[in-house]
Amino acid sequence: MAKKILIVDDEVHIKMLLEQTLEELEDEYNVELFTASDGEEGLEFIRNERPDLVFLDIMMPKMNGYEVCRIVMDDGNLGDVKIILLTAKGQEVDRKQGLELGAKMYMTKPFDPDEILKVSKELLGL
Amino acid sequence: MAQVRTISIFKKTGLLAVALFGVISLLTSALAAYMLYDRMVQEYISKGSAITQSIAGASQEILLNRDAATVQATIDQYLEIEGVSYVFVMDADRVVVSHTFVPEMPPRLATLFEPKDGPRVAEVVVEPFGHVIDICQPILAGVAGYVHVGMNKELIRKYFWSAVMRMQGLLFVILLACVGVLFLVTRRISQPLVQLTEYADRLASHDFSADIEITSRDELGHLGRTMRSMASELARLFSDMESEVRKATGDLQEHMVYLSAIIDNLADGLLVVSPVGAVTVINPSMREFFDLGDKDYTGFAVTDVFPVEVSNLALAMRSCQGTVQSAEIPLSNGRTGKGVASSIMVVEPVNQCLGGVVLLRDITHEKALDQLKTDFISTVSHELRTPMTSVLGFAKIIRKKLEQSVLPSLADRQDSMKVATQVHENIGIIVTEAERLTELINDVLDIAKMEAGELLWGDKPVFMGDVARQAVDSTRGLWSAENVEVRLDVELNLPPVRGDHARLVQVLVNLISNGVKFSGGGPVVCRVHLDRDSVLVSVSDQGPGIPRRSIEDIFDKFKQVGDTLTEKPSGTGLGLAICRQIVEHHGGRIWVESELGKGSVFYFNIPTFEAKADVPPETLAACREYQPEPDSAMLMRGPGESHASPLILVVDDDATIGRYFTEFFEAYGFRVKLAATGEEALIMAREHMPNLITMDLMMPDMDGRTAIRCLRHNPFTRHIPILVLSALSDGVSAGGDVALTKPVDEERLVEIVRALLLNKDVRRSCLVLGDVDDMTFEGLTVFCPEDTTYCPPEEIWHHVESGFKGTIFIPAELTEGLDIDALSRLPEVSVVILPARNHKPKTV
Repeated sequence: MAKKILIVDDEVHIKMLLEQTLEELEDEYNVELFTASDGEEGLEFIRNERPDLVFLDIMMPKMNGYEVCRIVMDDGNLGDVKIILLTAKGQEVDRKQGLELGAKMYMTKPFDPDEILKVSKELLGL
Repeated sequence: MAQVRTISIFKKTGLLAVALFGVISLLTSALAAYMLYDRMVQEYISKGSAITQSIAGASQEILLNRDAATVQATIDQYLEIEGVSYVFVMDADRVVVSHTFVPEMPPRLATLFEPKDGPRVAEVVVEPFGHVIDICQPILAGVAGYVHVGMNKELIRKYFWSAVMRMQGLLFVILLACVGVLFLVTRRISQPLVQLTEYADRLASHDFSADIEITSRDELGHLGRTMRSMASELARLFSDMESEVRKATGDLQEHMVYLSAIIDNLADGLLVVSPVGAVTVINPSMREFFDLGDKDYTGFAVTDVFPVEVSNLALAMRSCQGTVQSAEIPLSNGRTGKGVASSIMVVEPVNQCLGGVVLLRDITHEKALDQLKTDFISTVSHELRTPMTSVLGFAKIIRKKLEQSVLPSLADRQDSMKVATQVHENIGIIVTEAERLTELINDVLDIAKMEAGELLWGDKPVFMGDVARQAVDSTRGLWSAENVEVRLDVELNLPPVRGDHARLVQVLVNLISNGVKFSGGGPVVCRVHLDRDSVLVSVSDQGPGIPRRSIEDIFDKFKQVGDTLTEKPSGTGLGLAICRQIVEHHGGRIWVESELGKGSVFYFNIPTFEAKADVPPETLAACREYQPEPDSAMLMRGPGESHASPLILVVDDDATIGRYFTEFFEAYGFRVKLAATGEEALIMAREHMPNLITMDLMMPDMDGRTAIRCLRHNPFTRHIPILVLSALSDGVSAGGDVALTKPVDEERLVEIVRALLLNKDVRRSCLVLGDVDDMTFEGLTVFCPEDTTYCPPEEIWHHVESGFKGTIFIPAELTEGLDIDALSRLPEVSVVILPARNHKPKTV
């Protein structure tokens, strides 16, 4: 079964950047890429499709990344979903909060496309 | 008034004297009267006797002759003698011959007994005379008859009483005279005494205007004069004292007004409560904070007047200990306040608690500013980073695609290739500049956060030698690209400092980068050594040096050496400012010494701290016996085992829990060994080299905390990841890698165990001293399956300084000249001494 990666970010360019970065995986490893533009949309997708990996922005309209992360982590059915928090916020408190919620990683913008690729491969076991 | 008053002591003396006088006079007069009475009675008796004898003598013949008339005439004449009441004569037959009674003799007298041999005295009552002393004398022994003479006793009484009366009268007159004299004398003596008493009374009632006239020269006069001088002295003292008191009162009032004015004009709200929690003082600011109006709330319970946040703060002071800070307290009009309460203690004269003071400050403005700052940092962070992400990300993607697709496809087209190469170069410039911009943003945010106090600083023992090695390691890219040599010189046995490891690395990375940038071709030397009670770190270069005028402000923000107009600044200009912030946070100092043309030396020092609390000597002593002998090699795994599933050592004193974990981990395909005590864990860890240890903290004998210390202290076990599973919530502080609180979520446990096992592989790289060909320890390939490096002994430090982490294997014969201690103290580096070449390890 193809692995699914979901990108949730309200910034179109960041979404594009992640998509283009991860395209490589799409070709090489038969990974499917999906995007969502806000927290609610992202959460709905996670619930319906149960992606393997989610890149989740924190500052988003409607529902922020922390909330999405908390809901996903509290949901017993979504235990396999791995979340990487992506954010421009660099404060240590944010980082701590994110990891306490159960996110696998906390990446601060600007991030290196190669790093994204590496981490994705690691977490997906590719 | 003075004339009337007599001193009562004289009155009493007078009365006593009068009484004594009366008693004495009564007694003397009674005695005198009695003696007079007695004397008179005797005299009357003798008188009567004389009369009777005279009559008897004269009457013998007459009686014998029976001449009554003569007898009558004889006795009649005796009646004229004073005191004689009657006379009568009887013959021998007791017939009354003659008598002097008128008209007749009372018959009873005739029956009186008459003696024959001499006179007889008797007392009879005879009318009309009353008491009479009757004296009877026989005439011729009764032959011729008897003579009776009655002496009037009433007369004696009359004399007696008149004498008494007269005597008493005289005594009374004398008494009166005495009393009079006494009164006069007393008055004369008591008058000045009364005056003195009155004077003293007036002095006692603080009437110092009173005066006393003193004329006498006796003791009273002396007393009066002494009193007068005393009074004037007292008056002076009093007036002095009064003026002092008036002055002091005035000062006090002034002070009180001053104090209350201060309290009333405090911008902060002030509330004072008594120990029982009643309001004693509220200042106007406090009233205004809570819209209390002008009502007097003195004596009200603080809970009735103020909201619960304030009253709790005030009541917290009832124990009279320390100060209490409040969280934010909502004030009227949507403002926010912050309070602090402290107790009022009086030490003199006795320790006493007078209640508590609550000071409340309106922090609405500060809060808004603070929020503004936080928002600014957050916004800048977000708004700058987001576009930077796109710029940098896309630039990198473009570069990658150029390299991977475009450039190869243009290999045969010269013109396009030239353009594409230029585009590739330009993209490279965009990436570099964007990275610099990112660095600037990070630096700006870093310093903003530090200044805003929003940074969370680590607070753990940090070994500056490790910091230096890590910094040299992370700048490797830079200095190897610039072809600059970086030398590291770390003193051995440095004590740790306390602080944030990552931030200290940041400082040194900054200094080393600077040194490399301005190296001037020479080596950059980083020295770490102990300087009294601090660790001194220096980074020296042989660059152009820093002009004197720049040395002062080189650590200020946005200051760069040189002219920014003519010389292109390289870097953000914030690096050294950040360094200073970090160093100063650790209680250290950063400075630079430089000579133009010769180079610069940057110094910073961080105070050391005693690490003894972390590893008590007795702990190390306890660990010692579980450490292997240096020459008993550790290559003990059989070849087959290394590829088997990971071994987990479960340490728990509770057999049930141990069994549970055994079954649990085995279900996930791990192998499990069980240890019930800390000592057992140490021995088993050494023997079986588990891939992971789960550790309970509360155990008998050696507890988990000590066991972890020993495991970490032992170079052969320090790399084993330790997962603390404890009912205590402070597991991580026990020294483990991860701590989970019991009861444990099973999925999370497995997840963490897997993560720890994965991490561990990184630490498994091996460095073996010596030549590859010489190495015959097959065990090494077991222990270090994938990453084994061989290096000659002289290169060992180079490897270590370049950031090697893992296990270093040193054949016993190569240990000479190597500082094994220093090697084994390195973080995340274990040292194993391989047995001498001539006898192979028994387990291999």
